[in-house]
Amino acid sequence: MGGRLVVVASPGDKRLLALTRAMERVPGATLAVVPWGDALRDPALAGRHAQPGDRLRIESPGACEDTWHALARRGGFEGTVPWGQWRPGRAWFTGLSAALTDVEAAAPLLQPTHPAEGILAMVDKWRCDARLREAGVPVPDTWLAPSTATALRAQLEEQQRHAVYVKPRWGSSGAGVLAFRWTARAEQLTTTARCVDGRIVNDKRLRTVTDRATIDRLLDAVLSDGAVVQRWLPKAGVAGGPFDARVLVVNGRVGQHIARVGRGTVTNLHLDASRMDLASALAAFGPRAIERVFEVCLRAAACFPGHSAVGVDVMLDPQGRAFVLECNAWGDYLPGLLVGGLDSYDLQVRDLFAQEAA
Amino acid sequence: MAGTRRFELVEGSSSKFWEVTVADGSYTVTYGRIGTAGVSKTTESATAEADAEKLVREKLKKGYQEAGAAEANWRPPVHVGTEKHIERFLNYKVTGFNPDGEGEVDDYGRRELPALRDLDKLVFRVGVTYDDDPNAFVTRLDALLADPRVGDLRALVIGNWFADVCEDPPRELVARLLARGKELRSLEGLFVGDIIQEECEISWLHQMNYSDVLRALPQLREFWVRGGDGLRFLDLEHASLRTLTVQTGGLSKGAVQDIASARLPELQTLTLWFGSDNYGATSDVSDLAPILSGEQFPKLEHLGLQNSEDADAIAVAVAASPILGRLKGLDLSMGTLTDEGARALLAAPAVRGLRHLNLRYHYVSPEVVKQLKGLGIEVNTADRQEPDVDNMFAEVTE
Repeated sequence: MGGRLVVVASPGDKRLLALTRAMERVPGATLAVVPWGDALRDPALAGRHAQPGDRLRIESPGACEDTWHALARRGGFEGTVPWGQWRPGRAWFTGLSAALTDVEAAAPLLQPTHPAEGILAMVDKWRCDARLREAGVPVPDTWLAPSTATALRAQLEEQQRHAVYVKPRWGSSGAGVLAFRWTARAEQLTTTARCVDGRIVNDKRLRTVTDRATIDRLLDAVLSDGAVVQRWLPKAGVAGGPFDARVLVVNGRVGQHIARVGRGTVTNLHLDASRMDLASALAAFGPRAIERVFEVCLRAAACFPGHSAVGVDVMLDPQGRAFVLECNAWGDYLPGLLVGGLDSYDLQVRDLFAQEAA
Repeated sequence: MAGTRRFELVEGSSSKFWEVTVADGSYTVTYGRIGTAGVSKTTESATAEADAEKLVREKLKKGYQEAGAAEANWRPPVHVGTEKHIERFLNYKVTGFNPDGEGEVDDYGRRELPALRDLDKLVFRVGVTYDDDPNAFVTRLDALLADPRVGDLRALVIGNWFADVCEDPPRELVARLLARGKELRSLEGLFVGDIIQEECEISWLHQMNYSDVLRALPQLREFWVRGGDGLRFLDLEHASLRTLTVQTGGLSKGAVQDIASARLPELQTLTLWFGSDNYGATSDVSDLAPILSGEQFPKLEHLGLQNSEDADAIAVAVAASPILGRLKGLDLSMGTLTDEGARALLAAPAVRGLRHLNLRYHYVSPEVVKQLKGLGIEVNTADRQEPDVDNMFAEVTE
């Protein structure tokens, strides 16, 4: 029993703290932290002192301002984005791809829990959708967005698509997601993003905008950096509002799972949404509904083999049909959600290190 | 209060009744052992109504229960929101009707039946989904109307009549109901617009005039409609309608005046969602005067004036109105009610005669909420809201 886990993470990050506590609960398992900044300067750091059987976990670069800028700079972005303002994703993703490749290449003895290939395929929403679609996982119609609001409008008009989500191709946490729908007479955009003094700012509250000029400004900002458009399928609802679910698949098995009830249509947990037990949310769909949802999520997670914890976002339409909306490479931060007394990090750490002799 | 109210107390070997009837300038009390005619006494009083209410409260405190199952078991209507489709209507289970339906319960516990059946337990729903052919609605509706059992159908729920976006009111539906109304001999309930916000914004639904349809369904007891744009009830008249529920994000002045001047002698439950003037709410409180005077709907027991950005003015008007003393239930939920409106209610003695006061979703301060809870009647003060900067909004507008 026991072993060594090298993790590249931002020190003080809540995810790292949760992982550390989970590691402490497994006797004999040791944790070596390589701060993201250090790993960027010296990719070989992680692999130094590696022993066969040691594992490498790339943790989310998360909300660290310096790391974001370092990755973005690596990807060719020159500039400083005030924290809280919407951050462009293209250069950051290029930098992330390079950094992950470097770290893995420099640590061949370390077995990754979050292989770079899977991380990048999930962070890039277009690649993620393509992979799920190819595997036959039910997903809403998704396509690469044009780069301006004008072009998008023309496209939607021509195809008579009246309700869509516009999602930054390389973003996360619902930041910059725009829910757009229109008729011949009116239109509306629902988002947490706001125009403040000509800049796009991320807020926690959902707002609905109905004036065309503001809608165009928000669309242009997100589209210009690279986005996908996804058909907005109506979500089934419970008394509090429409809901979707986060299902965490840990090494091919369903772990934590929760429904997120939104007051509006964007249902990420840290936004204007509340948690609800998934079985309760699915009550109207009969006792077998949850199995069906889990089955779809397992198939989605299987598209990223070797990735130890895939956070699958899944919705039901009012008829009960399940669709996978997104897969999250670091979708395992679900505080307080226990399965058999274990949190999401316990499940992963146990799989890594707690192999009791028979 | 109208007519005679009867109360009964049965405990141990004691079995007593107590009745009160209010007339102009006097009230009469009759009491005795259940099964006997009892003893009567008439008292003259300029405040007969209030005196009688006071005696009723005393009897209730002593444990008397109002006689008659409908009376004793009266509950306010259950709130129906716009987040999910209704599962029950008129206390029957709602099932989808679809000639292409499999008829079996699918993996999600849903069942769409290709033919009407079990009409003593089920009511049926016709609606299309985003993936359906736009003509599917009319096809399914026609198939239902042609079903040999349609004469036994107790209620009909109408969902989306459009596949992707609502561009028109449900004209085909109305035309068919007008033409085939006589065949729907057993239809007691009709709900047009069981559509959730995710499918279509409530203020984007196109509606139309329904008074002709209602006239064509003389045995109808309950009519629900969702969507205010274009909604009217011109010259509304119905001899047996008991429940009218109008859910909108913007109810027009015309529609409110239509309803306030309607001849609905049996109306017991009226629910109106007013919405926001951004979305077509153009009425004001004075349009409600005929209703609030108590003259328009003599049998009204429950009044819901909800989802209003004018909630304070409504509360002030209701507090001073004759109808308040006659209601069992008052619902001012979902709107921008503040301390102003709440205080008006607190100051009205007749409020204490209500069985249920619904103020869910409001902007009332915690101190005043506490006073509302102290009224001694069933009050719902949940979902307290904080203004967004200085803005207050009704719950369902867009």
